[in-house]
Amino acid sequence: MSPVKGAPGGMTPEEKAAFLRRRRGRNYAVFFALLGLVGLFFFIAMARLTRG
Amino acid sequence: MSDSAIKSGGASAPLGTSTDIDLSEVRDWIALLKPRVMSLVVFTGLVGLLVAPGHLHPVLAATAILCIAVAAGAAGAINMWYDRDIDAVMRRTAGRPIPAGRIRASSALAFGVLLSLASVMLMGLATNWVAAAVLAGSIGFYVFIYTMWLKRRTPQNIVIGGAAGAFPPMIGWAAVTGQVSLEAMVMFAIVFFWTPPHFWALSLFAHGDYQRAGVPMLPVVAGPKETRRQIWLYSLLLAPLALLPTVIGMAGLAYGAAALVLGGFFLESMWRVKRDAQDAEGRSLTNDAPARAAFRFSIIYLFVLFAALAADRLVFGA
Repeated sequence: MSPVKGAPGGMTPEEKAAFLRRRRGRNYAVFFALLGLVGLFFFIAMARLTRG
Repeated sequence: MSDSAIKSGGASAPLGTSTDIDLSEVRDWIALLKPRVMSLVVFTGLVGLLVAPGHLHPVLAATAILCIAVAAGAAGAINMWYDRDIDAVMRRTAGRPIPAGRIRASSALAFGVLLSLASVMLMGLATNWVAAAVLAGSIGFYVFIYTMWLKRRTPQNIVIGGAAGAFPPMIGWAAVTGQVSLEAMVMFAIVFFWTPPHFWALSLFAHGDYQRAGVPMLPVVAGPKETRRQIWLYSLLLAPLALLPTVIGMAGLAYGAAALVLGGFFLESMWRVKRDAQDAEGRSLTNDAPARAAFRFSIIYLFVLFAALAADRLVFGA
């Protein structure tokens, strides 16, 4: 198995798989949070522009 | 963990389990935000927003509610950072991400501070800076006044600290009107006086945890008998106070009738706590069954009371 980027050495294959799964989950969460924030700022800007 | 470590405050405790491997999952970061507590905060904030006179664009209203939720969660994360020492010795909280070693304490603090700043800035940009200021005040009150100052020092911790949980309807109101008026203060007062009977009912059957952690909750310091008496006194204050929205013309008779009936049930529930079968020292002989029931009912009470306030305004146009 090739070394896992950012993963500490000495992990068993199961630990590496769990490490990757947790990291992937966190990365997706940050991605969707940022995406949501971009959308939110867009809609806030539109709402404020159309208010008056 | 020694008592001295607990009494000196969480900030002096070690910064959690230090490990090179990040053990956290997304659900651990969500758990830091105390989502179960958040539901009541969001609901009362939403009602404050709905009953306020005026109009707020639905997107801005949704943003205001999001800000209230995120700010409450952020304050909860900072609270978990500070209280990690007592969380570790309490059965109810030992599995939280920091004492369990899944999230580093310093990361939780950074997470909480970042979300606090973001929620206040966003509230100011989306609605107005009065609402943002009250939101910032509520975070500061929960973190500095309740968590860091009162919680470990006085059995009246949740009486004064409970104000932190009473801010959301006031913030909702301010988001629409841009001011804090009498009506907002009345909603604040209802949640404020609801908090002691609610939390003391919980502490009656969870005082073993608080005792182990050295937190001076009323049953630990003054005993269960005095706690039941205080629960009853605050309930006597709350029931008539909940009628104030009708008295000041903020709500109509439909809300008044709902508050009257709910108040009756609330008093009956708390009276059962006061009259619980107990030994000479006030320890319950029923495994605190009335306190458990009263704790559950108190949550329903606040939900239904605020729902009635919103319905009165939206359905009957009071």
